[in-house]
Amino acid sequence: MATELKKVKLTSSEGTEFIIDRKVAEKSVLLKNMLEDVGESDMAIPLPNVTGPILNKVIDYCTHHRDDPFVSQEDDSKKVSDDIDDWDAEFCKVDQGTLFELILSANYLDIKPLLDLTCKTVANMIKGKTPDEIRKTFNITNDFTPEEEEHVRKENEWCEER
Amino acid sequence: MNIPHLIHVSILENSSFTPSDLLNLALSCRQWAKYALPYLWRARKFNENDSLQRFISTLSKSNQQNLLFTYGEYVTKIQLEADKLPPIIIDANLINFLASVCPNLKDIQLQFAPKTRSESRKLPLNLLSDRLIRITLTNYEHIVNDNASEDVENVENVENEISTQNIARNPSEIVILFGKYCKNLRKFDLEALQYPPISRSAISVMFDNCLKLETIDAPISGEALEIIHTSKSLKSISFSDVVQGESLKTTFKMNNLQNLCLLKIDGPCDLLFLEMFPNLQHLQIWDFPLFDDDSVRKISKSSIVKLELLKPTKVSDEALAVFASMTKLIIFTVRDRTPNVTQDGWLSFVNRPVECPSWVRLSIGDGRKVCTKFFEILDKKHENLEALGVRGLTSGNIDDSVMQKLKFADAWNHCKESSHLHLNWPKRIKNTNIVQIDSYKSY
Repeated sequence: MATELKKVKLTSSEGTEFIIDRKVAEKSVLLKNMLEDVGESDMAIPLPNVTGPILNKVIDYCTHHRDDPFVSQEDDSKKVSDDIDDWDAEFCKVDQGTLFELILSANYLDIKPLLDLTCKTVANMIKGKTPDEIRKTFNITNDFTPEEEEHVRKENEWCEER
Repeated sequence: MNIPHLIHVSILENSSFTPSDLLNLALSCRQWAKYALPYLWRARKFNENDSLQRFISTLSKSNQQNLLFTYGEYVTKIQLEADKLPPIIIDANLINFLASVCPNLKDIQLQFAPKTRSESRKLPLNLLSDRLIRITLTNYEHIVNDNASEDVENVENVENEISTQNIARNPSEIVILFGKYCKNLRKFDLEALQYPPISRSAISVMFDNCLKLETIDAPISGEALEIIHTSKSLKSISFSDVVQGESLKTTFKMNNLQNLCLLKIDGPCDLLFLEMFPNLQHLQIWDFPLFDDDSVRKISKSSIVKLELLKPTKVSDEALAVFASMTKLIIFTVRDRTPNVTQDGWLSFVNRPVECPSWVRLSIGDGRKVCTKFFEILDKKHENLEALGVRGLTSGNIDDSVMQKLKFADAWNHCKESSHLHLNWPKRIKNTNIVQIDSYKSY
């Protein structure tokens, strides 16, 4: 049987089972390595760090991008672009909690294009905002005293003059 | 945002943040400051005194207890350019300062003002020796001092010392100096035009001491070619000034060399040394007036992937057929005119033998004899073609109706509107973000 027709069973943290094409699963370097190590097996692969709804989203992403060529770590030419294609942009229209869970899952499952996409989405949310707007967007507590903040601003004001 | 270290880094790596964005992010909270400030500080460039003085006063010892963040540790690259008036002063005090406050400095680029380069004398660059992996020097002038190890603060010796100093007109001294001190050097780039070429013995010192050296770009003497095999780390060498063709010889095989650039070859050169570099991938020969079909035959025995020629004015159709038959060659650039080449030459260039791969990138400086058939064959047979540039086409040689059916149609339509008939396919896209990123990212 051709690799792409083989199925793989995954179990989310709550025990929900997902059956997907091996080719889709192999978008995750973690799963690809596991499958290569284990060989032929019908055993479900437990993913205790990924919840069902997030795993569902991750599978959506991997299915859509199943035929994309593998991008090596060195090939960072895409990093300088803010361009996100329409499908990916739509995929990332989720609440902030889900977006960060997707980042953590992409990191855990080692799916670099998904990690890059979600991180780029967060970066675009930061771009052009004032410190206060960034804090509000991400619910960050300002742990600088006003004096410290002023100090850091002064030490780095050179960068505003470029 | 309670997220792991790697995610902070990944967000920063995937961003096209301006320096101002980075500062705003850093000011949002301490955790983000910890990640964003190193990005802001890692590559600093100075070409006027005010900003340099501010950098110095921020990092000065007297101010260090006031700092919330260890900015000096974040700096990995410094560019100092004395090309504006008044020029910044690159002196021993400044190098001493950098050595004491930037422990992670890896890359230093010093551009001295041509009229004030004497300030570059006696720079204690050896203080930065072990940490530097890349040095670029422009208009550098070093003083040879026989008593270099003596304490310069010893006033009694100062006069004596001055009398033994000579201004080094010879960049070989610079190579020896860095060769001795910078054992971790990966890349050495020296621009020193109108000086005697760097001697074989100076290069030898550098190869003996810098065991990680991968790239050297300097006005090296042709004789040095014979000893480059002694470096087991060297991958790329550029002879950036005139070399005598007859001096370019070696009988030693070198497996690690991948890139070779010769800026100008004077007099005859048999190019037989190419046989000694079996893993050479990229060859550039800029100005070699005697380059002819025989030179092409020598090159054809190599397994290079990328070839760039500036002035192969003597080559004929036969040479183009030889290039076409090179089984690894896929990227080809020829800049200047090729008056002896005919339409048949360009056709044999694209009609590659079956065992040869598709062209991937072609840049042809003289397109006067390039005809429609050339584009038809490229379109049909060269499925891996990524970029094509042909300058100075002759409109009478191109059939518009045929061109409209090829993938080059858009590029041709754009090209025929201009008076000089330069065809570029695909049309170049400007990525403005690259400039923005480059302004503060060094690696």
